[in-house]
Amino acid sequence: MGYREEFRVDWSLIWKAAIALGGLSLLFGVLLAFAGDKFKVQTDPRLDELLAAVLGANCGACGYPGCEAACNAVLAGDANVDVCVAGGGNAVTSVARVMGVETRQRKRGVALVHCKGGLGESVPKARYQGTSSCAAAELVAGGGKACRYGCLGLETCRMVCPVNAILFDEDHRRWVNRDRCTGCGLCVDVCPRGLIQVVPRDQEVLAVCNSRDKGAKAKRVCSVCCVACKKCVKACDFDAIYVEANRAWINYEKCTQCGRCIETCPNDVLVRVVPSRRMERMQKGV
Amino acid sequence: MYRYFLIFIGALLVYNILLIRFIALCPLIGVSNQVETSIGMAMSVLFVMTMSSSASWVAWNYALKPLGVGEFLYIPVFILIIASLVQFTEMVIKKTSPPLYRAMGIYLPLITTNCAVLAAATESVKPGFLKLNVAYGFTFPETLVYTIGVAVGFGLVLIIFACIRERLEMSPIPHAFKGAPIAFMIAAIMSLAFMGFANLLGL
Ligand code: SF4
Ligand code: SF4
Repeated sequence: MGYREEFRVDWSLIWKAAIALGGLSLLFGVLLAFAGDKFKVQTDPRLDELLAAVLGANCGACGYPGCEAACNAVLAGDANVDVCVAGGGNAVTSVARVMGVETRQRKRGVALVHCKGGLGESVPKARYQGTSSCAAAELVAGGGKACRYGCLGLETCRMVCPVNAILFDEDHRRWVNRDRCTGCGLCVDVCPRGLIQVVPRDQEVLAVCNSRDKGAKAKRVCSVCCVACKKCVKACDFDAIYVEANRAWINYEKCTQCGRCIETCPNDVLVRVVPSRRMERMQKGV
Repeated sequence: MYRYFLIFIGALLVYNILLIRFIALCPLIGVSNQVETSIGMAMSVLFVMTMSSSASWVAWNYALKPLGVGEFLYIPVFILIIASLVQFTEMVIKKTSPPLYRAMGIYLPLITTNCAVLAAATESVKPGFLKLNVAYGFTFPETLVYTIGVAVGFGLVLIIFACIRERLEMSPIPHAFKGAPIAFMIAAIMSLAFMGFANLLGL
């Protein structure tokens, strides 16, 4: 019996709470409505259209504090129509339409580490022990690899990448996650061996070696290196490959990506990158 | 008079909201990169906090307490008050002083969700920690003094912290400690320093 007594609902409290909360909300709502009318500021009518055009997530990926700031920057001419990073191609075209200008899609490159030699392919000459930094290893008698030009496989480039696009396997080989890489090029300068280059994103046939050693010597230290045999040069119908400083280079302007050279290379230096599904979508222009 | 002084010192130093009570650590880490922005933030907090605590005090004493619903309704009501006030302030500033709006603009909406503002509002109606023999709540002038004390304490720490961080930028810090980790360590050390104020004036 006392049980029922204790847990009886006090209805008057609920009514009072509703009155208090409802009344205050109403009061402040009305106040704000009046204030909004009274303190209305004339803004550029295009601002609203722009706000509708961008993603509107206030994510800050564009570097502005929120979408409104980004749109204001566009209106003021401080930012390009492609500010909205997160919105992708859609946002760019809509913003461009509002601003009445041509669409200018930014062409972004992608980083490529010009070395395929992991520990399995490229013989080590010493065991480097120390901070996991290629720059440091390079100073200690050129690191642990017998190849003087190859990737040292430590942390230097991985650490600078703002989007974590550079990965490595236990085999001391670097990979660039092409979906993540924004082509900012921060990693290019830090590599003590100058292995990284930003290449065009739609280029799928790539020459992945940096060795400047002559054929036999190069072969001694790595099984996937360019020996400058020039077989690819002969195979190419478009004059797109040339050998300079004992390694093959591709002229991306001339290359038609036919892939004939890939078959002829005896050392697997030339590869074709399989584009991911997301890249395909991006190339179609979303 | 002495009582107001005690309330002020208590809010400012002895029970500093950031370093002793660890409320509002997000702005402490978030907007303390540059002295200028931290001053902007401190000013906005001072302004909003004073307004919202006064409004909360009025709502508590003239609506919630007489109706007897304050105990369980004060948090939603205070949030409502703070959010509306921030909105209102933003509108007014946008209209009356565009340069100030540009300087403060991005901090104002942030303050809506600043727990320090809610804490100050709550403490001024139900002061729990100041050993001042308060039966149930401050009077209105006391609320004002208290809130200004809290806000000045907040700004003081924020600005000192920003000064330290600006110097940290140029010091050789190991990579693993860069950014937030070293900031938290500095905050901990500063907090230890502020604990030296404990029991100041018997507070
Ligand atoms: S990137 Fe796009 S969605 Fe993100 S804040 Fe900038 S404008 Fe807004
Ligand atoms: S640092 Fe920049 S260019 Fe290099 S991998 Fe990362 S995102 Fe790509």
